[in-house]
Amino acid sequence: MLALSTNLEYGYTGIPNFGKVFFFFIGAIVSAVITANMYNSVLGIEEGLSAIAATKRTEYSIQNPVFATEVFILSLVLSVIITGLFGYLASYPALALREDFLAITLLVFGEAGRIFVRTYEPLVGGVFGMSGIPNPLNFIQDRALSSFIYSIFVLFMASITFILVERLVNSPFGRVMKAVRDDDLAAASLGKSIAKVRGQVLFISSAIAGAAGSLFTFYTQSIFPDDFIPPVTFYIISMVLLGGAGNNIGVVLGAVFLSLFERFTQTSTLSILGITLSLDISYIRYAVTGLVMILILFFRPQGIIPEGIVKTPLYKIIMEREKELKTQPKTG
Amino acid sequence: MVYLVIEEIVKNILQSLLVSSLYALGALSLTLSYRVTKIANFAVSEYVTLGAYTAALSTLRGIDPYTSLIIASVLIGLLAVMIDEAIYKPLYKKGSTPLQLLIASIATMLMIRYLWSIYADYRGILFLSSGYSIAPIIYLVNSPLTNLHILSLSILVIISLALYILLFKTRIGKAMRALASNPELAAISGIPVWRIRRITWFISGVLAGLMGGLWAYYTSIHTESGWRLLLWIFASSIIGGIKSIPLTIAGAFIIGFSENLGIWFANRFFGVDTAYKPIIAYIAIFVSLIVGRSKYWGR
Repeated sequence: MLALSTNLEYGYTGIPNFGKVFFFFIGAIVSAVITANMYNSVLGIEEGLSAIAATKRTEYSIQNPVFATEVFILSLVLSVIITGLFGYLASYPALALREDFLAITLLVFGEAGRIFVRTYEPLVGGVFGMSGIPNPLNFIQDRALSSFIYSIFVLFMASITFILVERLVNSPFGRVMKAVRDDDLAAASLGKSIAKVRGQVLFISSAIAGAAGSLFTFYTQSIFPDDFIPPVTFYIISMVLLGGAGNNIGVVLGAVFLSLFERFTQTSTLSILGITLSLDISYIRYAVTGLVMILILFFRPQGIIPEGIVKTPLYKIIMEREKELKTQPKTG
Repeated sequence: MVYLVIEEIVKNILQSLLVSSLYALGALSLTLSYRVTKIANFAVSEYVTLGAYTAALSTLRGIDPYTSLIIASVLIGLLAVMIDEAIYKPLYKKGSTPLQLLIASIATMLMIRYLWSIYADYRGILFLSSGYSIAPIIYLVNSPLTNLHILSLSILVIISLALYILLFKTRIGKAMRALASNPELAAISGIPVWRIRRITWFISGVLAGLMGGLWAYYTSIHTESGWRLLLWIFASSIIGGIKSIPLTIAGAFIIGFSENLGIWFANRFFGVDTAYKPIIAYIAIFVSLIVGRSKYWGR
């Protein structure tokens, strides 16, 4: 989902949002805060950030699955909207900065936000974060089963995201996005408001990131500011570059490929396979992220699957007609 | 009571002076390489880290601190040239955009940092203290002015003068300035573009290496040291407008002072938590970029 969101901004519209992880974080924060507060008010908890409160909340969710689900849905929806709004705000700097400075600005903005949340304790427990953000499926005793079901749900959300993004991108609006990316002066001269397009795109893509953040926080049932650092953004960007900026299938491939790589290079997975290494494997993962980015830039900047044409409904109709014409027998 | 405040102020001023001079070195490295090659070199953080490690390891072997600094800076200078030859230059020749080069520099930063971390982990030097001992020279209102202060400030002064002479009194410097303002015209005018580029990167690396080495003397270091400092280096450069030597140094001092003195002030009189320190740098960058020069704007 994050990769698709980045592709939307950067691949199609040319906005390098290096602060992506912060929007992911906002989604997580909104969900965490809303969930915790709702549980806390129902349970009458004052010290919401303590471990006892966390346990109480989790227990409550096990006994009250309906409530848990309601809170979950509410949090998800609000995460989407609020993060989207933040994204819209982020479009203002995008108005005039050159692309590499825009990248730095958004990176800085995101990291500043993270440090602020990390320091300001009352929000999500500062450096220590907060646990006890109960997953609505907690009532299912079998951990493996509930995790599995939740994963299916996330997959479902990701698929919806993909479909929505594909529809968005293969439409006249998609063409406008690319126009803003490639030649905004021309686009402006044709009457397209660049600022508005950027604002809309950032709203949508940030909303997606917010949803991802919400889903993530319910998955880990906690929120820790130090999970949302800039290397995460770089990781997502390398997925987009690897798969091919400007086309969604490629980006999904990139995400899947790198995620699998990450999974298979965890110490736990390797030990299952009987391989134990003396060095810290997470170093290799980041080093490889960097290496992958360099290799892509060198050898295949378009990514595994290059960008295609905007396939608007009209385009499809025209293509159909052409095919029909070709297969018709020649008369006369 | 007032005496106590003065004591704290002096302590902060001394702290700021030291840190600012180090940031200045790093910022000069960044500004120089950016002006001539148009690459926002995120990897400078790793040049600083490696410079720190080189100097620290060297002093631990018994080599005196001054020679160690020289070793560190020269090695990093060579590293910077190698990185350019291997990564930046080929991409530049392929016609990469500034953004793509920025991504490349980030990727390089990641690679260097984590490859080095693997090695450092293997050798058990993830955390390291150098063999340099900070010795106070004189005490100003109970706070020590140390040999490190003298060392770093004098290095800054010498380097600044050297850079000034290089850029404005030599032909090489003139070529560098030409390349900075108009690469195409410089190439046509017969300036050996690639040689000047190499020289630029070498100097940039030397500066970063010096910053790293001095930082290693200042405090104990770890593999993420450079990354932590990157923010301040960038902030210093950006506030200085990524323009000239004096402006960059001024930017570094503004950052260094606001980081120390500023936060102390906010903490003492407004109760602001010191953990908010980085926010100052972020706000500074943000404000500078948005409100500042039109150079950052446009396509």
